[in-house]
Amino acid sequence: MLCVCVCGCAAAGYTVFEPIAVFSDDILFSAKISGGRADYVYKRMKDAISEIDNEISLSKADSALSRFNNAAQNERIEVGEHAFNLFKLSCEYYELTDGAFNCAALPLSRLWRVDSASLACLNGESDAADLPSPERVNETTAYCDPNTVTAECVDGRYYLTKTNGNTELDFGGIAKGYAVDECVDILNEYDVSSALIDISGNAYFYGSYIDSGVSSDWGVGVLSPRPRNGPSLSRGYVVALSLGGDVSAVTSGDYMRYRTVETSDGKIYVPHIMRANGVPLGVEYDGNNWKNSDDWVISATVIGNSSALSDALSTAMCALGIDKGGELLKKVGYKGLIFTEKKYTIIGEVSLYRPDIYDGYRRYDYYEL
Amino acid sequence: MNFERIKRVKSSKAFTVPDAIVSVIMVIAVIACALFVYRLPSADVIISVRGEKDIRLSLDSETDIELKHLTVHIHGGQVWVTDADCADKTCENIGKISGTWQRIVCLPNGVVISVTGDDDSLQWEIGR
Ligand SMILES: [Zn+2]
Repeated sequence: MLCVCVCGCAAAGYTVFEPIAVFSDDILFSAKISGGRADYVYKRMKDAISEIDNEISLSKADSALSRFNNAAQNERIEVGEHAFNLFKLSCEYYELTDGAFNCAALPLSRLWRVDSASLACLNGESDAADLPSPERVNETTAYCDPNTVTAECVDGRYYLTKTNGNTELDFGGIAKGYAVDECVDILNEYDVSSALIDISGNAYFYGSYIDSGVSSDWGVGVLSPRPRNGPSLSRGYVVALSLGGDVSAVTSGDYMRYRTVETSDGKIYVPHIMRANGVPLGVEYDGNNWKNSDDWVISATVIGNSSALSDALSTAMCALGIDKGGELLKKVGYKGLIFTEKKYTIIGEVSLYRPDIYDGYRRYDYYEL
Repeated sequence: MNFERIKRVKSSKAFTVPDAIVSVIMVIAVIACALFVYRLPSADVIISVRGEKDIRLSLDSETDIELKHLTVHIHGGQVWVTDADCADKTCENIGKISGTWQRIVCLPNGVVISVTGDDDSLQWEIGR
């Protein structure tokens, strides 16, 4: 009996924790953890994630971030350590990405009705009447700047203060990655040799993949950005990655959260990813109307050590475009892939897993940066 | 040690006819095992209807599937559509597909048929 159990455990290798909703109903946390303390490690991770959520949730009216967003100009709001850390990281990434990653863009998302709350009640479709005027966009962009917020740490307590009453923060763009990094810290505390942590596509591969005692790279499929809707199965993989251990991989794209708007010239797509000019990815003004651009980034994958930075960079690469986004990734020293509607490029030494089978990238033209 | 026996072995032919037969059989066996272990993972056909239902079948399945608005044929490693009731017949005109990630789409009926690889060998997926 003991033998059966021991053999069974050795063969199974990982304890698999099925997806559960964290942060919000559509953000799922899943894990695979090797070793005897998997259940305990998992529980610690779950607790860490809900601790972060309690501080930064925008659907909880009493969270520190909700209180900050509702605060008046110059009103000092005490926040927790996570909210403070997330703000500091977000400011760092705002500078790094030339404003492409912006934790203060919530009023813009709301203006375009691509924030989580609007997308949930719009159910995707609407007409051109509710698209903002370019003037409104410019007005709003002016105060969507994390530099209008001051952060202080006094005697071990953390405070955020707005210098513009309209400013609101949303850490949705790096919270998943930040939470994954916190989970990795927990894995480091225990004797875990191999694990996989995933919060809605923000994945971290801890150690090598172990199958029946043999270590190998992780084979990771990157879902195709097209067709935009439909079940993931019919989208297939645009490419698969072969990842050695201790690395995070994150994909952002225009297909994840967007709405369609019926204009006089036809249907346009408005993705939730906002650019530094206050206009969503793939959208431009032709002098009379908002329309979709000829080509834009539809999927950007970043591979790097920090999941928070990978999370921010994958969004920023969509906003920056294939050239600037690729250059930024090179500068940071992370690896990745960028796809536009027509072409793709690879940054750094990315090893593809079975490109003979996972060859969706062949539908795009290779573009040399 | 038996010196007589050593001498006899040393004087015998190094490679006899039975040896050759055994060798050939062994080589064939090794190749067969290698082919079995490393056989190419077969591709799958995924039929998605109105973005709701996913049907997954092997590309080798040699079958015909009658859906409400069209019939999908999977034969000889190829997939094609006939008897579509849509007006444009785009799905039928695409013809036969076989390569991975090729696709037949019948927009009016919301049917997407794609050929994919063996996803089971992957440990995870990102980009949802
Ligand atoms: Zn058709």
